[in-house]
Order: sequence, then C-alpha cells, then structure tokens
Amino acid sequence: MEEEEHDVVVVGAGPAGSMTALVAADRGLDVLLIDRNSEIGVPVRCAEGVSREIEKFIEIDPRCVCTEIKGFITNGPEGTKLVVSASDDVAGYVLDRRTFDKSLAQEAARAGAEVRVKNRAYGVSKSNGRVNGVYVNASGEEVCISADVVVAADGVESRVGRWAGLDTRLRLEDVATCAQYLMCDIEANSDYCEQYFGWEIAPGGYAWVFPKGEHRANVGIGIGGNISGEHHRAIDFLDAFVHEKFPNGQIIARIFGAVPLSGPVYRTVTNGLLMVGDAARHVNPFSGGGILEAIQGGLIAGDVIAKAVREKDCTARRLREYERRWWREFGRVLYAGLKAKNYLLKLSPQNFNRFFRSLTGEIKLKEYTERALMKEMAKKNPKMLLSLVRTLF
Amino acid sequence: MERDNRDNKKVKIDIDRYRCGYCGACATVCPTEAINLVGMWVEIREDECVACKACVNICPVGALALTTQVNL
Ligand SMILES: Cc1cc2nc3c(=O)[nH]c(=O)nc-3n(C[C@H](O)[C@H](O)[C@H](O)COP(=O)(O)OP(=O)(O)OC[C@H]3O[C@@H](n4cnc5c(N)ncnc54)[C@H](O)[C@@H]3O)c2cc1C
Repeated sequence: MEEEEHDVVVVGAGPAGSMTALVAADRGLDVLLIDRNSEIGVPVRCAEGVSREIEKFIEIDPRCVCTEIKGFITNGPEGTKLVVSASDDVAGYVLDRRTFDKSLAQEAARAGAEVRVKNRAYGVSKSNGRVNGVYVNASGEEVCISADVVVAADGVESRVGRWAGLDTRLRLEDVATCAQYLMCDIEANSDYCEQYFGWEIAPGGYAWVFPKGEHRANVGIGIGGNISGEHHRAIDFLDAFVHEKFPNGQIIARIFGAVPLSGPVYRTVTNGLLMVGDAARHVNPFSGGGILEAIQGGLIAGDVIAKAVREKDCTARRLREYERRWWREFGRVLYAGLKAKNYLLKLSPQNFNRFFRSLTGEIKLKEYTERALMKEMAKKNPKMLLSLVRTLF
Repeated sequence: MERDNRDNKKVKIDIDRYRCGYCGACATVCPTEAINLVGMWVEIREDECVACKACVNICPVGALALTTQVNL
C-alpha cells in the first residue's frame, strides 16, 4: 500500500471540512482535504437556507446566493401565520450549495490545502491508542495517509469518528428523513422562507418552501425517523403536500437525505482526531439547520489544530480546547433547540395546535438569528419558555 | 438479540436501485456499518447485517426491503 504524510487530513469537503482545511492551511500547515464524491457540492442534500448571521464568520460571494430573503414565515396546522423578519430587510439567503461548497474548497486550496475528489476514507490507522492517519481508496488505489490530526468532517453518516471510538450512533427518533423537490413554474412567496407544521402534513417534522428566485423553490419535507416506515415515507408526504400546494409546478430535481437531530455529540475529540459539522451532530434540532454551525465549528477547529500541531501536542487533552469553544459559541443554542424540539414533540395533538395558535402576527428582529427566533417563540408560549429558560437566556 | 446471519436463517436486504435516491439515510442509521454509501452506489454487506430493519424504515423512498430465508 502506498503511504504519504501530512500535518492534517480532512475527510469530507462539505462546509465544515473545507472551513477547517482553509483555516489550518492559512496558518501554514500541510493540509490534505479529501471527498468521496467526484464533484464537491454534488449531490446537494440541503434546502440551502441560512441566516445572515453567517456573515459574521465568512464573506458570502454573491455568486453563491440564489436569493436574499426578508424573513421566515411559520405556518401552523390551523392556518395561523407568524412572520419574522429582520429590521434591516435582509434576514438571510437561500444559497446555491453546489457553488457555495465548491467556492469554500477553492478558498481552502488557495490557502495552500491540497484537494482530492473521489477519495474515500474507509478506516483510521492507530498506534499506541492514538489515531495517526486514515486509509483511503483513491479512485481504486489504496493509500495510507498519516497525519498529526485527522478531521472527521464526513457529514451525517459520521463513520470516521466512530472508527476512532467516538459514539456517533443515532436513534431513529434522532434523525429526520427528508425528501425535497426543486420546483419551477410555481407561485411561491419569493421574499420569505416558509415552514408548515402539522401532524398530517409532516409528522415529527415540518414541510418547507424556500424560494430560489425565478419562480423556483426548494419544496421539501422532513419527518421523524421513528415515524417513517411502510406507507409513511417522506416522499409520500411530500407528494401530498406538492399536490395540494403546487399542482401545476414542475419538478426539476429530486433529492433525499437525513438530518441528525440528536443535539451535539458529547465527546467530539480523541487523541489525534476531532469531529466537525454534521459528523459532530452540530445541527440545530429545532430547525434542522447546520450550515452555520459547520462554518463556526470549522473556524474553531482549524485554529485549535494549528496551535496543537505547532506545539506538537495533538492529544485529546490539547484538542479539548475545540470542545470548550464550540460549546460556548453555539453548543448551548443547539441544546436549547433540542429542548424546544422535545417540548413540541411531547405535546398532544390538541396542545400542538394550541401552541401554533399563539404564533401569529409579525415580529421584526434587530438581528435575525436562530437564537432570537426561538426566544420569540418561547415568549409567546410561557410553558416552553420555562423549559428553555436556563439554556437560552 | 436480533436474528442475524450467525443463525441458520439467512438475512438479505433487497435494494431497488431504480428507486434508491443514494442519500445515505440507511447508512446513517445502520448500527453495524453493514451499509455503505460509495459515491452514487449503496454497498450492502449481508454478513454484517443484524436484521434490525432500521434502514428499511428510515428510507425516504422505500427502496429497501428485508427478506429472511431459512437454510435447511
Ligand atoms: C434535506 C435537507 C435539508 C437541509 N436544509 C438545510 C437548510 O436549509 N439550512 C441549513 O443550514 N442546513 C440544512 N441542512 C443541513 C445541512 O445540509 C448540513 O448541516 C451541512 O451540509 C453540514 O455540513 P458538513 O460539512 O458537516 O457535512 P456535508 O455537507 O454533508 O459534507 C460531508 C462530506 O463528506 C463526504 N464524505 C462522507 N464520507 C466520506 C468518506 N468516508 N471519505 C471521504 N469523504 C466522505 C461527503 O461526500 C460530503 O461531501 C439540510 C439537510 C438536509 C438533508
């Protein structure tokens, strides 16, 4: 088997992996970024919505934006509407992930990282109880790549961390299983991302319509993994939703995927390895959004790795700085999201409807963030507020 | 313990490759890594399967089915 050596090997060129590679390479490390797919950003497994908060961390190239959005509309089961928008007019973006993911990998390359596609990791190598590399199938050739730090950025499947001994298992109830169509020729609200709740529409999840400009939209549905089964498939619910709302629209792409809604994994580092993004379950369980957290986590991970490699100490103890920092920066918000999701799912159908009856009207937020949105919902629902009070405020 | 291929029953996961969306939801919930998503291909290693049906249930399009044959 061929062998080679790098300071850092990043498995997975999604936003989390590319961001980590970008920061580490920018700080002078020898970084290899690999992805199993033959094209970065493809296939898309995302509704592509992100709040403007992301601009605190990276500059968004206008070419990666399909449309700007003014806010978010939450549609309750009985037709109630809550419109939340930003006071400065732009609350967020619907991205083009094909372009966005590629441009991040390109930035990593520009910073000095080596990028290889169609390279799939199939194991980690270890010595003396620490991870020291990955085994890769490089378009048919087997290669052993050793590195001081392995970054598990392999998305929702999260196998790399598991090979290293981290617990990334998910129960069915902690996964949303999704179907989405990119539709054209439809009359959807082109300024707002809309969510639709209801046990009949999307049990244990919600449906969404995210505008992509030019009368196109991502129309999708996620349902609870424990509810999915024969005759209760995400695609069946999506077909029913589309039939009802956009009977004359055309479907120009179909995508499927799973979203981890367990809340963050407790242990995300071990000797010689750390996990970022979906692999670490850095997704808000209330919204299912994980782009922002992938970027934030990648920034922290890259910084900690740069310091650890320079100090020649890549033990779990050293890498734990990453864990402390992600927890402080966004871990608590994800945890609040988990509580909010659990609160909603535990409600009886009547109370579920009652909850959404309280969500009406219009709210303008000074700054549109997931945290602010959850806060507003909680303010309208005193009981939910109680369950969130310690984590959110 | 679940039935598995260590008994005399042979478990088989059937995949309808025309229906499959190659999204990896099955690989995400498989407790024994018997299912792998390799690019646009799903690889199934039946000797690792414990017949828990998690993959069959989670599949957003219903492309997977589990069949059990008893070996005589
Ligand atoms: C239907 C759906 C809708 C969503 N909508 C939104 C949304 O609107 N807003 C939002 O913020 N989030 C959304 N998400 C979540 C979001 O897509 C993820 O949180 C985000 O992509 C996570 O980024 P990541 O870099 O961690 O993982 P990914 O983007 O999944 O990247 C992981 C990469 O690792 C590669 N890989 C995996 N295994 C290996 C291996 N063994 N070897 C080499 N490479 C490997 C994969 O090919 C992939 O490119 C949605 C998810 C789904 C499924």
